[in-house]
Amino acid sequence: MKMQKKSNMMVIGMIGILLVASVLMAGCTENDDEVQEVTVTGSSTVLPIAETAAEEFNNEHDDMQVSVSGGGSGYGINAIIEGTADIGMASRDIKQSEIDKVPDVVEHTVARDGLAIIVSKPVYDAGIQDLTQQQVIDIYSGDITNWDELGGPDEDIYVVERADTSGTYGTFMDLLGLDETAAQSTQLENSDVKRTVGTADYAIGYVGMGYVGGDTPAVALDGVEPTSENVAAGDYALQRGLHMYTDGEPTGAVKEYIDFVMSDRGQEIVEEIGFIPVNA
Amino acid sequence: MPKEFEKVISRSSKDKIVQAIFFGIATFSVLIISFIFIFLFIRAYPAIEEFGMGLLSSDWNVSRNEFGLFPALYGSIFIAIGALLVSVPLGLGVAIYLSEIASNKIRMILKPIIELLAGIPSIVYGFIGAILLGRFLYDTFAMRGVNSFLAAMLILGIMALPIIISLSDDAMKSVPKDMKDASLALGATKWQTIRKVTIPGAISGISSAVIMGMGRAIGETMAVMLIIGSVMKMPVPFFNIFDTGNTLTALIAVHMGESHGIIISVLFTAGIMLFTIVAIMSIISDILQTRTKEKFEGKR
Amino acid sequence: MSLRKIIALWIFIVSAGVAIYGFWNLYNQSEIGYWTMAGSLLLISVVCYASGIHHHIISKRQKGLPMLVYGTFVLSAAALSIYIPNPLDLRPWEIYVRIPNSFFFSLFMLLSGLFGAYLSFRPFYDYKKEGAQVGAYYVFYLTLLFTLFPLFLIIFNIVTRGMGGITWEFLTQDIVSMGEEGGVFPAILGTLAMISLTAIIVLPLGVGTAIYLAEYAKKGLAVRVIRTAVNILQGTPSIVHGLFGYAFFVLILFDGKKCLLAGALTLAILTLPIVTRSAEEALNSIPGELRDASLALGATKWQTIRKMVLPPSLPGILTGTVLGLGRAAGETAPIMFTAVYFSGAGTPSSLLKPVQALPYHLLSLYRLVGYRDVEQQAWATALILLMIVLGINFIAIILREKYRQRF
Repeated sequence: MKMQKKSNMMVIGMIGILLVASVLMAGCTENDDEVQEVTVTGSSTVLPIAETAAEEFNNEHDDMQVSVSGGGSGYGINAIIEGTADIGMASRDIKQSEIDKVPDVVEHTVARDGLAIIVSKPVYDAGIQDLTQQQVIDIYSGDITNWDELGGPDEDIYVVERADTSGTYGTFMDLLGLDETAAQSTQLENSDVKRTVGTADYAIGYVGMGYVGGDTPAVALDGVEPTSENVAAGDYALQRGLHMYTDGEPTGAVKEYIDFVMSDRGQEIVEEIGFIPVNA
Repeated sequence: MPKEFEKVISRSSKDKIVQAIFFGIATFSVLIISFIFIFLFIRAYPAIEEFGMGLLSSDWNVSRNEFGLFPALYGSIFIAIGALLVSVPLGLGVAIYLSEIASNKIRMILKPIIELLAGIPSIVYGFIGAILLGRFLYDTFAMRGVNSFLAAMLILGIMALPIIISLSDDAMKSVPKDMKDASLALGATKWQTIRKVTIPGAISGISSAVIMGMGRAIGETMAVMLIIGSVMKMPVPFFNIFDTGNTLTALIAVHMGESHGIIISVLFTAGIMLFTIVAIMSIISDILQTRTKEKFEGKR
Repeated sequence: MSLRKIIALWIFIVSAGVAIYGFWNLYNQSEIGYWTMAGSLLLISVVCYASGIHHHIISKRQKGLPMLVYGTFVLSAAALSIYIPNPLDLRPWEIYVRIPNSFFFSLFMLLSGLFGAYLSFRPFYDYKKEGAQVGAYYVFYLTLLFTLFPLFLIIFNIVTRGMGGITWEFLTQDIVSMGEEGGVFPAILGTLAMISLTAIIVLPLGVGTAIYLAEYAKKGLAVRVIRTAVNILQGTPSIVHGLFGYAFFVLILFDGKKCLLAGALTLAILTLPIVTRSAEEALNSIPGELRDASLALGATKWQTIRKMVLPPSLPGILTGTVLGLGRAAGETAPIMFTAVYFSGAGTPSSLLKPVQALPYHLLSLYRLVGYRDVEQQAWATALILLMIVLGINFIAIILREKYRQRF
């Protein structure tokens, strides 16, 4: 009998837990339909802009909620094609084959970005501060494997690249005219490349300009530093536009959000993060 | 009388209905397995149709539309073997200790602790592996970067330990006590009994544990993804544990978010490979396990 | 105590000391010179020789030979290791490592120390078979030590590095500026909501399957197939669950939107075999007499199950469920394509909206380490995740231990 009682208690306890869980869920659904949801997904390069803008935007608008997630340029554009997000971010231009699938796609170029070549600090300190495009090509194609061939320390080069499905990878390879690489490490996002190059002592990688600095100084390319001025003036060779794509002209909360990103405050955010505003 | 009879019939037919309901619920697992296979296959089909056997080559180049999955397949198996080299000796030692030597009290303390080892989320293993172990190996061996097969093998070796320990512990426990007692009564020491009676008796259960551990190592995702470097190439030379590479799991996890179109399809093909390999291992391990059980059932 | 035992003890102490010193150096990556290593190994070989000679000459026994051989081996290893180049550069063979001498030396010391200690048990027990047994036990203790060491290391590091990041704000605020500020509150709630939902979905399925397997049909083709399916499901890699969840729940059921329910459904599939197996075990542990008694009294099978079998096996079923949920709470791969966002999802508000979750939060923070100042936050997140998951496991273990000896 006693045992029976105990198990009854267990049943009651279990039902209690379930009830609490369902009440928690039901209780939260109350003010549901008043909020307009905007989902943004795609390129990790554009992510910091969208993210920071969304935080400010959400604070200002109680009736709108923007949620941002990464995933990569291809993913962002694909989300627009499949209709799984309202805004797709991309760090490369949309391809013709993709436009065919969403003929109504609208491109909003929210910033410009330079692709900076970053190296580990010991390499930079040892004097590797300027590379030519040809040298970068040779490093990535595996023709140069040791820093001493470039006047650096006698250490092997650890070549880090972005995932070959990413927009940054595509832009980098296109701009340098490369077809395949001899990389030792493939990293998903800009920050991953930065961390990998930063934790190694003799590594090279490429990231969006917003990711330069600290452990990972950027080298000049053909004598041109990857600075905002040089990118804005078009002097720096490795540069690209950062886009937000929508299926058709945006309306409602989506329009409000994109307008906010393109506003003076939005472009200030772009600059703070380290990219080049489009209206500059 | 007829009324009573009716009651009995209706009661038993109600029972039949209940049984049918439970049967329906029980078939859910079968349904899920077939659904997993079907939906993976539907998504993978475009790639299989377009590339065919090219998916098993070792050339991977997205811009040239080459999607050879062999380097990832090789990496998965290479890492699993390396992980087993770490976890099998350790795991067997601990299992023997737990099942044959430790007193009940120590066993009661140690088993939960080893379960805690299994409870640590794989992302935490990956985080620790990447930040601490990767750095440690990098410094010790003056490697080029913190990612390597070696780090992944060590972390996966630790992660496969709990399952190897608990399954081989079960296997050794299932060897009837009479057999062990008989050996002891004949004057053999405990160690001789373990070596000559327990381990040979439990050998198929132990192999099942090893296979399950290997399946776990092949299927592990998050930890490997943060450690392996995810670069789609074979290690050079092929046994180089200090090189970087890729596994099927890391390939999927890294590229899934960045991909679209045919590449997603290729990743689903990788998923099917993974699922098939691990499912075959589960089945083999299952057969071995039942064999151990059946072997001693008659002797009990 | 005889001289034989004293010498054996001496070997053990010297060897263990050298092993510990070697391990310490290996762990701390300290530079150790040739003479430190050679000296330590010389020490081992001297004690081994002493034991070997003692047995060979004084006790007139032939069994000292292994000691002499081992002593010679250690000595020659020490002598020859001067020829190992420092560092050993494998780059000419395309293996990009340079292994410093101190690594080899520490490893030598660790291994020869461990083996020397192993050998000392034989003379201590006068070369009887007990010696071999104690030697074997010693090996098992070592494996246990090497198994528990990483566990200790992981927990120690996470607790010490994570503690500093845990503040009231961190526990109660939403993430701000990509994790540099704010906290993990929505992620904690998201994880809890997800596993509660998982529990609701998986309990009836898992327990139902177990009841069928344990109570209705013990043999037959259908049972074999179901059992095999449960086993395959248990071994299925979590990333495959993630792919399936994406292909089926997200793309087909939820119109391409990640959401809490899709994640919970995926996790329910992941935990189904765990719940099923433990529930089956719990049901099987109920003695058959209980059922027979109930059936003999005229109860139907379903009444018997409901009234006699299920209540006492509930603790066991709950334990299994809780264990499964512990696993679910820590999984990243199944939810990252199906349910979670890094930020902006807010507190979970609807089944059909994405959530934030701790494991994915940790992954995202780790990715930002180096770019943003978030390493401290990542450790703190790891600590919270670990506390939740281990807490859940702990509850399960306590439940189990409490109800273990009932029948």
